[in-house]
Amino acid sequence: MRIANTNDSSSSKLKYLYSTHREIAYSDLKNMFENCISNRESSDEHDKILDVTASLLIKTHKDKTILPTIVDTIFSRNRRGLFNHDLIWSFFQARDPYSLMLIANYLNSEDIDDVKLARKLLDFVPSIDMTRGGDSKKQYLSFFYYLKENYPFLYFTGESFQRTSNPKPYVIALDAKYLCKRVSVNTGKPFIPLTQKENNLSKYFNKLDDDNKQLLSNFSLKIQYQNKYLWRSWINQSIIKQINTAEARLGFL
Amino acid sequence: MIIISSNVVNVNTFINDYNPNDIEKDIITKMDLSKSQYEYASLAQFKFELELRNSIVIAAKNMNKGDMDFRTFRKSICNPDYWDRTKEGGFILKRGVAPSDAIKDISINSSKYGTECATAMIIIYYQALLNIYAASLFNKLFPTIELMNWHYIDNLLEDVGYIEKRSDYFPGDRRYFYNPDVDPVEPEWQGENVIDLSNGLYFGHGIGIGDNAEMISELNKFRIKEATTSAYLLDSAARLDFKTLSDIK
Repeated sequence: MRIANTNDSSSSKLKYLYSTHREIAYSDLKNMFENCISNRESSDEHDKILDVTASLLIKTHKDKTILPTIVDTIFSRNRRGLFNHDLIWSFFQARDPYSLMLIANYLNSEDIDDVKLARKLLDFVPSIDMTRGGDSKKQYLSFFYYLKENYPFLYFTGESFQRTSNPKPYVIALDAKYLCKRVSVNTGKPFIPLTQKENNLSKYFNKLDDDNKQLLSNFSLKIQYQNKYLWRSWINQSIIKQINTAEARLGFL
Repeated sequence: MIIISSNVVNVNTFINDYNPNDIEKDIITKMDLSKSQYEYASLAQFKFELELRNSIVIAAKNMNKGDMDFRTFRKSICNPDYWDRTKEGGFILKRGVAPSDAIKDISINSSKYGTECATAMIIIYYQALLNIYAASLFNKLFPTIELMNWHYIDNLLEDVGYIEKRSDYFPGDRRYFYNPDVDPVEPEWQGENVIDLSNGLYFGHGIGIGDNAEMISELNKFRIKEATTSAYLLDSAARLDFKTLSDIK
């Protein structure tokens, strides 16, 4: 078995990129990227350079300004049946849950191929069935509200289409949502260390089954937003009483 | 524990009667010692899983012996007598070609093929099934084949696309080594799909056969310069729906 081509290319530009990418200045890389965008889909080699520069800008230089252009390119390639997996991978490597709205915008596209790809990429949201046809506008709104509610608690998993048919690039840190503690998108751990009391609450919470975790985390966030005094009173009850209260009241919030 | 037709299997008796090979014996022993229950509707169903898992391991080892290159999707190649290459870099069965012949050709003319690790996994599953099913049945079940990754997968094979935590891992499982600090210019090394070959060995296309440490060491060569996190084997696996496949006549 041989590794044949992972680094080779007839394009001197691509060779240059591979051999010197660590030394290339951000501004030069950005120029290369913009040049590629203006000529995108003109050749496979050109698109490869675009993919590499996009990956470097996102992973190495943490440049999120290119994400809208990348999403447009992903969908453009999809319409033409061109290879877009590396670009999709780079997009998610930005680790920016807000950027998912760039994909959600394509749920409202008039092109069915756009809608199908947007649904596929956003299929990781458990509360939204993206696999069904249905009303794309409703799906868009559902996703918008999902993101608005859960953004502070989402963290990046690294899952991609190379690994699985249904990658879940982001998941909710339910214990953090329950405690209303914002988490790092990289680790899923709260930015501010938990107090002893919060650690105990978290311990009891993590012993619950998935349904009760969902119930308590959803209820906790809603009641904390509405009335902090009530929230403090609720979360200081036993976990059983918390569940009973949440079951009785969640539908009325 | 293994349960067949509601009866707990005496493993020693089964091994004496069935005379399994080493791979199959490994599977039987792991299932027997497991805290989980492995239930089968019939002896035939259980034997089918053993045979197919063994066949997956054989197909993986054969691929390792062959000359198929590791190539990125952009540079993938296939034998145009049997396959059409898509613009994405996948392979679609050529019209008028028997699926069984096209799958066999990947072994016969392996030097005419080059692709990424995920495609290689799909090829292994098809080759393993072709060793179990008669060619006529195989052709009936898979009249159209697209080889790429977990995006495009036949309904009968779709379970191998879903990787999840298991209580036990067996030869023939698809596992995944994740490389979180991969070099951004070589995203193809973001991870490696592998087949569990038993005895702690794995086959991954592009790396070959190796143990846990060797797989990790190879992937770590493709990390960013300032990498802090090593590649690692995920505590999860994907596997075929053996029971459904065994019921196909």
